[in-house]
Amino acid sequence: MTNLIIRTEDIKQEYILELYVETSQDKYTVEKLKSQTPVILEGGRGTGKSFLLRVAEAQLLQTFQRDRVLPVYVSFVKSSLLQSNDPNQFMHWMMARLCSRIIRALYQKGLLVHQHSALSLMTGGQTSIDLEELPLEKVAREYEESYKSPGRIVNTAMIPTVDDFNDAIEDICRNLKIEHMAIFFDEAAHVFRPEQQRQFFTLFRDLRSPFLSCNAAVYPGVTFYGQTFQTTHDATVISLNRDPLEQGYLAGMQEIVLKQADAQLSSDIGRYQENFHALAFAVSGNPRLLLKTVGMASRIRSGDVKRVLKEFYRTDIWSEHSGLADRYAGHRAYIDWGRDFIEKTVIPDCIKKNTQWEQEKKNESTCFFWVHRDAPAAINEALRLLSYTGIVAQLDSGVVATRREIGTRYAVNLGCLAASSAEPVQVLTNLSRTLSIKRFTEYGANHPIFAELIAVVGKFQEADISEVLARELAKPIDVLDLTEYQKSGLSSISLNTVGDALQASEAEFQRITYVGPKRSRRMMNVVISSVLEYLSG
Amino acid sequence: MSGTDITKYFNQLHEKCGQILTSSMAGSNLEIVAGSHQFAYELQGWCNILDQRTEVELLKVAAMEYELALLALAQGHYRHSFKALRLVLELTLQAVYLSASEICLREWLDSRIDTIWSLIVDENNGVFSVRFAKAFFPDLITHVKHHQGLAISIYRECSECVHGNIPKHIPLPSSLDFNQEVFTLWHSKAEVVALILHFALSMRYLPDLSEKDIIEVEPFLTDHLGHLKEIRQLFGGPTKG
Repeated sequence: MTNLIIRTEDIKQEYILELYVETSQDKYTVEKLKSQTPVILEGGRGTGKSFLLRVAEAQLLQTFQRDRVLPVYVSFVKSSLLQSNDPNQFMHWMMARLCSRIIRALYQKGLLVHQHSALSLMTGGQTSIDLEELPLEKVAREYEESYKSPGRIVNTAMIPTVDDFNDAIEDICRNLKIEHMAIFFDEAAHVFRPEQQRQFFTLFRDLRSPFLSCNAAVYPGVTFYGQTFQTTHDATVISLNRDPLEQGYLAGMQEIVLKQADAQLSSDIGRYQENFHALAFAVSGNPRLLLKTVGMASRIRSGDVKRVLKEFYRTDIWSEHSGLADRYAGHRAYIDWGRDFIEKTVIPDCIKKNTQWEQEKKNESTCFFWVHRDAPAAINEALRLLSYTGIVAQLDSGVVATRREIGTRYAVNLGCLAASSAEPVQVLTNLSRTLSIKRFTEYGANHPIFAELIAVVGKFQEADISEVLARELAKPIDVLDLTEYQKSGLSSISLNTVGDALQASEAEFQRITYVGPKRSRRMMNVVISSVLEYLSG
Repeated sequence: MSGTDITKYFNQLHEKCGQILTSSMAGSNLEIVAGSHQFAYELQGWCNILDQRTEVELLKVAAMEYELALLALAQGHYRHSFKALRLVLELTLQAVYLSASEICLREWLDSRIDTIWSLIVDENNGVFSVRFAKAFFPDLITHVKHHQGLAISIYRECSECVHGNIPKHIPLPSSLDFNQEVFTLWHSKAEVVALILHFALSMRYLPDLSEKDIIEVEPFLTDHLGHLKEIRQLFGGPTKG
């Protein structure tokens, strides 16, 4: 069986272009990312944001000699643990990380040379090149470590302002004949921390200069742009919804799988086209879900596909959504209500309509629904969380419905819609022929179902950042992926919560029986990586 | 041949090497050299954080040999550049191998035992054995076999240049001239060597590093080994599908 790679992070950079399937939509996105226009790439999990950033980076690297546009890929995945009383800390941490990646990109292109090399020692330490190393890398480390001791004073006098940074970039570009640098921020707003997200977008806006073009991949469900950032003025927002109704959709999705498929899988896909199309249609444009479900469906036979559609869209995808509530307890009410809303209201409403139209021999069906623009903010929050896991996709806002009321149109994942049927492959095949975006169920501003959520959460309020993290840190160590021995060791020295374990020193770990300097170091690393894994999910 | 003539002769060779160096740095070759050059600093980075360990001496020599290999390559000494690359592979893996046995390490440093390649890559007890991974970084067990295969292949290929036998993998030119094909080939081999060595060093040392040292190696290990979820997890990157 082919071992399909489902995450961009699992692919080595040099193979990115080999796996790239250039659809017209993706080509447009990549060209935009490579251009001077700042781009916000918005899409749920697994829609291919990281992949397209990597493609743009790889293409720019290939054409650097000709175009002199230097790509710099920066991931902010580790930001989830930053915690300090210093309000500028996150901003400085981002700047430091950005500088460090830019410097590395310059080294790799041979535009800068390191100061100290083994060979320069051989020549008596003399090099003719005089380079001043930016102190930012060191400061970044200071900040990265600071989450363990919140409140520690970091010497920010060493950190240049954003203007100083922009000037420095201009100098570097002019001296090295670089047209501009294209920065690709990945995982820029991956955790539910509105304050960090606002700071990021403020930085994103402030970094604008003729020598820098910033691009960022964000989730639609978790992004707070803040007051100063106006998406229409400060960036082009590209929504990464691959429309299953678009011509060439199935061919494109098939090619994505075939790029990685072995002979057996390729031949199975060719032989059981209808089954494969059902899988491709069910994912509603999400390549990661496709690779995942194809991987689960072994030989793509009817029985395999039916089993996967039922298992994955009735259980797996929902458990992932509900799992969010464990990590982000402050959002539990929204997450649980969202699931109920889709499972008990939206999907039954769609099925009812589709069944009726089928009986009336109308050539129409729907997976679409519309929510009034004056619906409570809490509802939008719940819908945003659903789009994070890919269960719904926001299609367009300002859509006029009955009585000229205005609202936002969404699509519910087709796999979820079909999974409850006895013959999901058949249902998906029918949907692919009859779906009409003009047909949607409307949920007005005061729809009774909304009251259930409002009754639980009241008026929508953002969760306090430190409160959210504090709650996570107060959880027992059982939530971490540690061995029983490690857990009992931690308990034996009264490290009972995630926070206790995270803030303990190596010396404290050594109080555990039979734990010396080495094992304590190793345990500490295991604890830190488990916490990161747990928080970032 | 008089003293003047021999000076002239070597000056001619030197000039020729200079011309080859110009070709090695021309156009997109510059980027290729710069990319490969990174590994010298990355090895230096490992040396810095392992500074207190006895085996670091081997790594320091490896870092220097790597730069000399690149210099030889840039000047057209292709055979020597591949020989030096093999030495970098051997020295670094020997350092990792001996780090697990203090007695052998001291004996080796004292020239009482030799480097035996077959022991370094031994299936049961070598650097890429399950036993070794289990002892130092058990999460990487599933990846050792692959990297063992890579190490054995690349060593064999580079060995052609040591023994001078009929080339199967590396078509060395017979004259002192720039050769784009061999030049590019060296870099592709160097990339594999970098991957193998970062893997071996990570497997041996990464779980024992302090947070400060992890931050030191993270930027380049993410680039080389970020595709392995076990490594990514240690750096706090995403691992779930």
